[in-house]
Amino acid sequence: MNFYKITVGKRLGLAFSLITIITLFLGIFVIVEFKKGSRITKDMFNHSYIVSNSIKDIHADMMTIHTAVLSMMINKESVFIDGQIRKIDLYDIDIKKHFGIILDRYLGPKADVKKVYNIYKSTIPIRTNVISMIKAGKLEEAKIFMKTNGHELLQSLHEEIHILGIYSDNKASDFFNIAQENEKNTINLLAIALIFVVLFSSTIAVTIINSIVNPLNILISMSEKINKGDFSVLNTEDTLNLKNRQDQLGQLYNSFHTLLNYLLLPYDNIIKSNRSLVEITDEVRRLLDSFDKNIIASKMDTQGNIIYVSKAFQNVSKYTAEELLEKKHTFIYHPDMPRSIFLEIWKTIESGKTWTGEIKNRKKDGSFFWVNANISPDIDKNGVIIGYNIINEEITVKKAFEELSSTLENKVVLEIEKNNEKTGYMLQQSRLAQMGEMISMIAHQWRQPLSSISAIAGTLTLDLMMDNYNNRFFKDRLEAISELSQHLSATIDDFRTFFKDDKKEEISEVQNIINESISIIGQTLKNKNIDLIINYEDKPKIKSHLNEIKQVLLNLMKNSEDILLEKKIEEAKIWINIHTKDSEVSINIEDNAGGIPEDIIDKVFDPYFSTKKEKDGTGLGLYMSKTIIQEHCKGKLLLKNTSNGASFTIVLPIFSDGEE
Amino acid sequence: MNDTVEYILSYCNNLELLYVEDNEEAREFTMELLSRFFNKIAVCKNGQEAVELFKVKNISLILSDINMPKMDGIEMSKKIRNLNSDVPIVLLSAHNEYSFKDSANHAGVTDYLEKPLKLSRLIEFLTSFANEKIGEK
Repeated sequence: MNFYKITVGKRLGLAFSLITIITLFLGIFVIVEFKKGSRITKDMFNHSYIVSNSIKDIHADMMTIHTAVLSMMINKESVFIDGQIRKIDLYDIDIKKHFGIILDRYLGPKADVKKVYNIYKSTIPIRTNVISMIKAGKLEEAKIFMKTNGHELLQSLHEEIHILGIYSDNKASDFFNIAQENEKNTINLLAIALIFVVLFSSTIAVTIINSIVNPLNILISMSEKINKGDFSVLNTEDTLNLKNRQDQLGQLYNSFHTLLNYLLLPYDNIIKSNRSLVEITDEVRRLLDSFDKNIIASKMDTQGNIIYVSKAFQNVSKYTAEELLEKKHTFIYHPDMPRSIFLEIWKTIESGKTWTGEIKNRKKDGSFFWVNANISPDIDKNGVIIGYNIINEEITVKKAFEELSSTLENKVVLEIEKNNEKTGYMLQQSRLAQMGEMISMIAHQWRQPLSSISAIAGTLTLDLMMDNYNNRFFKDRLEAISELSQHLSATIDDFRTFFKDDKKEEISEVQNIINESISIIGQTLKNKNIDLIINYEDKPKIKSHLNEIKQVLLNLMKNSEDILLEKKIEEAKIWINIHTKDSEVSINIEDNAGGIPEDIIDKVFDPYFSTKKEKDGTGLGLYMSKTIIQEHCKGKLLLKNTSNGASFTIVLPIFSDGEE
Repeated sequence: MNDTVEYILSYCNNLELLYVEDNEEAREFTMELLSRFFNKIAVCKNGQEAVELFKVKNISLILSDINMPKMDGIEMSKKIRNLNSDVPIVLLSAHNEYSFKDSANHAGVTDYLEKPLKLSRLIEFLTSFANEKIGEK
């Protein structure tokens, strides 16, 4: 198991637990040891009985010595006496030894022991005198001497020794009791101290653990929330407390916060979108990737050395990054570029401004590419220029187009002129044809009146020649001529009105328009024995270029006339029918000439298409008619074949008085 | 000039003219002029009528329009020639109708007079017509 998988809190807790256990063991050990020491003390105190014993021994020894001295008085044999003396010397040594023990162990003042010992020593010369008296046989003398000098002394010696023994016993007992009491107190105290130590260390442990684990937990939950896109945690009380901490965790939080701010600063909008940090950084990374792939970009340092080129830049220039990095940016410029531009660029960007303009760059293969460059200084927070960012848009095609366009434009202008010329020519042709038709129609209109005038003139001339002048007849005939002239004049006026340009739209009943057209062509049709049958259902009004519509009607009737005559149709007829439907009026012109062959019906509206012999047709009539109706009068010109023949329909919007 | 007219009149006065014209207006004053030369004038509106009339009348000269309904001047000319008649047939034609001339000649048309009819041209024609008639005699 990996040790670092255990959380910090657990680790610290474990550590403190171990310390507590060790302390506990230590305490127990101390108690055990203390108990052991106490036992030793107890043993030591047991030794105080040795003192008592020694005193008893001294007593016994002194009694033995006294007895020996007394026995020497009874048995005067020198051998026995000598034996007793040696015995007394041995006991004397034993007493001296016991005094040494007492002196060593005695718990009271040592002077007491020395005093008793001195008393004992003072008895030795008396004993020696007694023994020497006994040896000298002065038995009575010895008895008296012993009685007077020694008895009292021995008595006090016994007493003193006895007092020593009692004192020692009492003292030993006291000490033992004190020791017992002391031991008990010490153990209690130690137990209390141990409990206190355990409690204290636990409290400290918990406090320390919390002080480390809590901030860590806050940091963890904060990171998780930020990851999920909740940036509000940056301003909670918890994080604020953390921020104000001076320890390493506070520093950790502050550096984390600073890093976060630094990272997120440019993505304010993204942060507001409540998206997770992972998503945001992902997006930023994708953005950077996309930038690198798609934007022809580069960076240069303040010396003009290339320090970055995007993939797009590499693709376009055909250079790899390695080939460009550390090179001067001028390396990529095409030799065609004038030096003055670079001076201008540097002057602009070194002053902290952005330069924008077109630059011709050189590719690795020697060809070129044009870019629209945006060169801006990269300025750090202190306002110092640390490099330059160059963003380019490739405009090679656009430049090529511009070069082309000047020549192309000229060509287009020429073509348009040509086309205009052509249209103009067509119009002129159409006009000429119309004039021809007009003259022909005038001829038809005028033929009979002119014939009449001519005939009258002939008659009157003849009458004058033959002297057959009749005043009334002449007046009458001259009046007839005048009337005929008026008729001719009126005809001319009709035509003039008919063919004059009408630029303004005018309002009229459809019926009137048709009648006016018929006033022009009617006579021609009549002369050529073509029946004109007109049906009106209604009297709709239109607002349009009326003369143009009349011209179209005339053109259509003329076409019918031509085909009827060409095909020599018996009982030739032209029908004009007017229908209204919804907001449109249809003027239908139909003949009984059998219709237009299906294989050319699609072409009749094409310019220059004509079935007529060269002399008669310009091929512009229907083309112009359609143009006039559809483009000038906002109507439609339709064509179909019926069982009778060709049927043309002009559809025009009806003008209602409510309008405009 | 007067003599010429006199000459024509002396000859044509008793002859009957057939005038074929569909247009009423045109007919009115032209007939008036023609009536100065001919006492008898038969009038009809188209070729068909003209052929029928020709059959029943003793017509010496036919003056006819070209374009007419039912039967035009050329068709009429053919029909009359088919009747084994050599009566002079004169078509009144406009300047732009000369395209008819080939088929008209073929149909046995004798001469043409331009519309509008000029007196001098009419007199000229009638003189030659009279001369021819006199020569025949």
